Amino acid sequence: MVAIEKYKLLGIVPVLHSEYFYSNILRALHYCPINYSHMIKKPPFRKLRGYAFDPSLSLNLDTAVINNITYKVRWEDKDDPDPERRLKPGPIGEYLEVVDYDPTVDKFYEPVNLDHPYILAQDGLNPSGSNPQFHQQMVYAVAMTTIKNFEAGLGRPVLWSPRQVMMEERTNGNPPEKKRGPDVYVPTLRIYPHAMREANAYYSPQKKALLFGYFSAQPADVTLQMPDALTFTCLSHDIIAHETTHAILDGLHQSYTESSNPDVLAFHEAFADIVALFQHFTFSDVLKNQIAATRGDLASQNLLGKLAQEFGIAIGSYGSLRDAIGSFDKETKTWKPKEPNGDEYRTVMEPHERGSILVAAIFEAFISIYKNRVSDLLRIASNGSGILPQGQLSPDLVSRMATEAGKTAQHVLNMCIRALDYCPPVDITFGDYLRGIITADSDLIEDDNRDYRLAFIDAFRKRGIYPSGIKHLSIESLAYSIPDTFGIQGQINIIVNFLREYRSEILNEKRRSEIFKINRKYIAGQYDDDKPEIYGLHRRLLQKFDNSFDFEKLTGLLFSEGARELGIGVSDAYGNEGGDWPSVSVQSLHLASRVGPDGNQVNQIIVTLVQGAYVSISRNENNEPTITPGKKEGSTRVRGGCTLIFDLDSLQLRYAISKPLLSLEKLNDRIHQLDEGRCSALLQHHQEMRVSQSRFEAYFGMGPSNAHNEPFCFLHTH
Amino acid sequence: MAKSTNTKVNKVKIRMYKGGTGDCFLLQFMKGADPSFNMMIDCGSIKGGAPQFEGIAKDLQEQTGGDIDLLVVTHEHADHINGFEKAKELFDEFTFKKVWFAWTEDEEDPVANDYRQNRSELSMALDAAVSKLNMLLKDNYYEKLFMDDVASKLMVDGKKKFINSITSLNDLNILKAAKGKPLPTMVEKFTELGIIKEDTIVELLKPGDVRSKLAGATGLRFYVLAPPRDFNLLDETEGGDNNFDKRETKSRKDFAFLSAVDGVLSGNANSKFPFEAEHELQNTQHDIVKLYKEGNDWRKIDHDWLYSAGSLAMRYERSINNTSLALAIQFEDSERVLLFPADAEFGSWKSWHMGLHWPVKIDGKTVKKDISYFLGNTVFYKVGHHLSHNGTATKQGLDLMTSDELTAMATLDFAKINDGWLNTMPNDLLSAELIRKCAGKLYVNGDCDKILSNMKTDRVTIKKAHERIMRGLHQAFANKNHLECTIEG
Repeated sequence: MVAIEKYKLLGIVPVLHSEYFYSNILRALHYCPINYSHMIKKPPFRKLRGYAFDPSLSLNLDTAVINNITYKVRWEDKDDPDPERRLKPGPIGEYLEVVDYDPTVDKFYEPVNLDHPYILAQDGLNPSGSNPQFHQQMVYAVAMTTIKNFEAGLGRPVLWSPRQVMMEERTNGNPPEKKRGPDVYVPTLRIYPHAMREANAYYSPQKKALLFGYFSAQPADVTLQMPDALTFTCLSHDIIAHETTHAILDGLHQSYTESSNPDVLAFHEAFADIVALFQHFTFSDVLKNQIAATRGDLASQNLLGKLAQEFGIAIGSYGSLRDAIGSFDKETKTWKPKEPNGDEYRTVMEPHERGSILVAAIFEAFISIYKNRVSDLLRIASNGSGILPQGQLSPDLVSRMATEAGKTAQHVLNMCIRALDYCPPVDITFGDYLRGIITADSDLIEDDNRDYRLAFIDAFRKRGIYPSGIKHLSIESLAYSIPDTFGIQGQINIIVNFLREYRSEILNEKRRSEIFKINRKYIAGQYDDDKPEIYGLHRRLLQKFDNSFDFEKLTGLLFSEGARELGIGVSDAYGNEGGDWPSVSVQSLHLASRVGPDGNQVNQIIVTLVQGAYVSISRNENNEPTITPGKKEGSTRVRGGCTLIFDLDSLQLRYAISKPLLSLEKLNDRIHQLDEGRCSALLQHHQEMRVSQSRFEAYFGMGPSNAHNEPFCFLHTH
Repeated sequence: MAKSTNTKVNKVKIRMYKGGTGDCFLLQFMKGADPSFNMMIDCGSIKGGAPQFEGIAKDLQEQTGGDIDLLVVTHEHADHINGFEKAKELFDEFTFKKVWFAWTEDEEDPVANDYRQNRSELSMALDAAVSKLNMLLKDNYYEKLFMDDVASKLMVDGKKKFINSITSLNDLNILKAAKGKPLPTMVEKFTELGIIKEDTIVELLKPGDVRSKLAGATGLRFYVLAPPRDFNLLDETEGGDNNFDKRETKSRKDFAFLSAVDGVLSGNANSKFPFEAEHELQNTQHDIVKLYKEGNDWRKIDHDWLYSAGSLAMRYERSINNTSLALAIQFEDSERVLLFPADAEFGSWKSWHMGLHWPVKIDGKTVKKDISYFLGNTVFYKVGHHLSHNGTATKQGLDLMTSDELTAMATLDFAKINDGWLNTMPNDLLSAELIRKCAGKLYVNGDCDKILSNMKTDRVTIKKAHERIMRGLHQAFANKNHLECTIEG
């Protein structure tokens, strides 16, 4: 009976005009809402229209068809039982809050309500430069897409970098004293789509916000663009993805905003570009179009390898702001591919330019892997010759090649993202990053049957990027080795057991605020009266490894008394008031739980430790640099750090990836002394930065040792 | 009164005044032991006060009797002209027979007028932005905003440095315009100051011009190198061979930014808004307004947009530097050249090479020569823009100065300097190369030891012998308000 009614409703049973029938229909309709709410699941995605690149490509006949795409972003529900995850007008959701306040005219623009039925019905607002609500939708869609890609690679939710604050502390009636308080959780990254009138967009680590500018275009050639047309950086996929990546990277490695060697800021820039670039390959129509246009040769000029085209032209260049595979020759006004000459890494120092070396290396690795993956297709399509016939490619071939390109891009991007967990927490170099990529990949994928790793090593080698401290270049020597823990295995076991508790608590937690809380609890401990006491990882490390030369050799950090003499901050935690114990911070604690393609699972806990020392440098009578530890006027902070990766299955300390603060050589002789090489390298770098900084930085900046003054704003100022 | 006879000028005493970063030069061209032609170039200094300029004016009076045959006013920046204002009463006693300005000061030249009209809007926007930013400093806005941040002090320091730098850059701009009007010309300014009197001859010079046979200056020829007539060159401030400079893009004017600074642009009030009014949020109690305004002040962006004025101020400074009247002065017989480029930056240097020729008299015949001839014959160089990297072109400038008799003077003094300039002057590479070429004969108007120690970075080598010579030159003038050298004609 019920079944028949249902069929009738669906129009399968012939309609009979009887009162009985109508009454049944009415009854059925009455129940409809209830029935449907059970039947209809929440959609996994929200579809939002937007530009694949930026508005300029929609004005070009060749590219207009592919430029308007539909982003599929995670469905955030306005009625989510968890208030933190609800979607509100803005859009404001779990990760992002778009606040469209334009301070230049002191106006708020009406926030877009993505749940409005009309907007829902048409996959979001129509792409348009003149509607600020579309701008809000565009930044939301692209930033959410970027976050999704990161989470896929990392295997855990993205957290924004916490706020580091001072707190007033009052002890025994003394006047209040300002002390470093616990880091404050920042649930959402704020996005200001119209924050300034300048050809600039930047991530502000202090505000935990992205600021996008708009400006009047000043094209070098009026046929390229309408002069004085307003150009909005918040409408460029590449710029949004780039800035969002800066924010995500800052959440993973807070010290990477400090320029301690020429690679650090360049790495930030490069990484942001890499993410923006590889996201192009997730737009399948664009990808197919470009594969067809280049006849499958992605190393030739194509849209996928270019970044921020409208912006580039609007500020007076002849083409995109940056291009991973080629460049536009001003003289001949033609595009030509970039050839690595092996020298750039030694000579190019400006962060964006230097970063583009890394981008080119990664992109080349991608191209080689892609070529390898499509070589069989090419042979099939060309009767074994591998040389394609003239004319257009068959759509089937294009589609197959696009699938391979898309897959390869996803793999390469994942490798790049995963590697972040295998990098030292401070002072990263491109070489360290290469080692991170190789190590992370070797851990997860035992059989590299497509030679991905070799492709990376080869591309880095061609640009003269070699990691320091390895004897020769091979996959085996690039992958970090298991450290020698003889003598401290007992303590390590205790730490690993503690970390297992952490794992069981964090494993099924999906709420980001809870994850933050649990991380904090396990780092700093829990000493509330009403909860069970937990000694944190910080305390355990300090107490288990105090005076342990073995652990100091592993980490390169000081765990013994004698901090003052070395210029290292003194800790008075855990009853050490007035002592001379070093302070060391546990910067992060993560669980990495990943499954490789062969089904093998990696269960690792990643801990990063950071320690700083103040030093000054002077020259003795022989003009040799001498390093004096201690904080005083003109001194600089040098940071050491170590990433410890514990394997929860084998109870091993799997890796200790260290930038030592202490001299490892002297530690062998049981002497605590700062690593002079790193100190003088830092000071040397600061000196070089001062002489080579741009005029803007020289006029308005605070010099390299003050990283707290909108570092990305300075980097991006044109 | 300088004597005038038929014999030719055979040497020149060049006096550079001290008292801060800024130019003030007296050139006394001599016939034997007697001065026959008094030429003055600029009078200004960053942060210079009245007493210091009074000292300079008195010395000028002593040297010349207050008779200046020729005054050259190179460009409008305070560090080149504020002395005339600060020691106005003393200069009132002077007679300036002839005053030279660049063609950019010609109120009948449409190109110059267009340029000054554009600049007046820029200058007003800068003024407005700078005063808004200074209000923030006065209110301790940043101290409050960053109060509980771990890096609070560094952040506040950073903002202060920024605002102080932009303020001092803006202080360079003395000429102010009324809304909708072009900037006044310097001819107007100098008439107002009383420097230009009724019988003063004013000349406005353009590149390619030559002046000779000036009374008292027989045997001297004056060649005008710059400012170029092409706007694009005025905006070009750096050589293209350096990665760091490529990112600086030109901007004559940014409508978007200017229009947002209240009251700057004339015309339709609506034109300053990027969107139609229908998109504005009417509900001032909307959740999003509350989210922004209530709490979490550290996330606000109320004033950050004003920092865009920083790059504007910088470009503005450079573009005015490029309006510098650049001169080459030549002794006819020996063909030796004194080069005074004022603060010309790269675009100006580059323009000298762009098809310009000047008629030169060699053995009684007039021959057309290009700039490399003049650079090759240069025996005295007034270093461009206070020893900054962009004030002296390398390949198109210093490399072509091949005379082994070169002497140079630079105006740079750390005791009185623009905050923004501290990190860019002196440029070590330029300084080392200059000292090498001059074999130590480089004069600076600030503390020689201090400036030398700033020049000696890790990447350059300065010969000990040259250093000794340089220090020796300065010791002779330790207690004077000037330095002086004599160049044979």
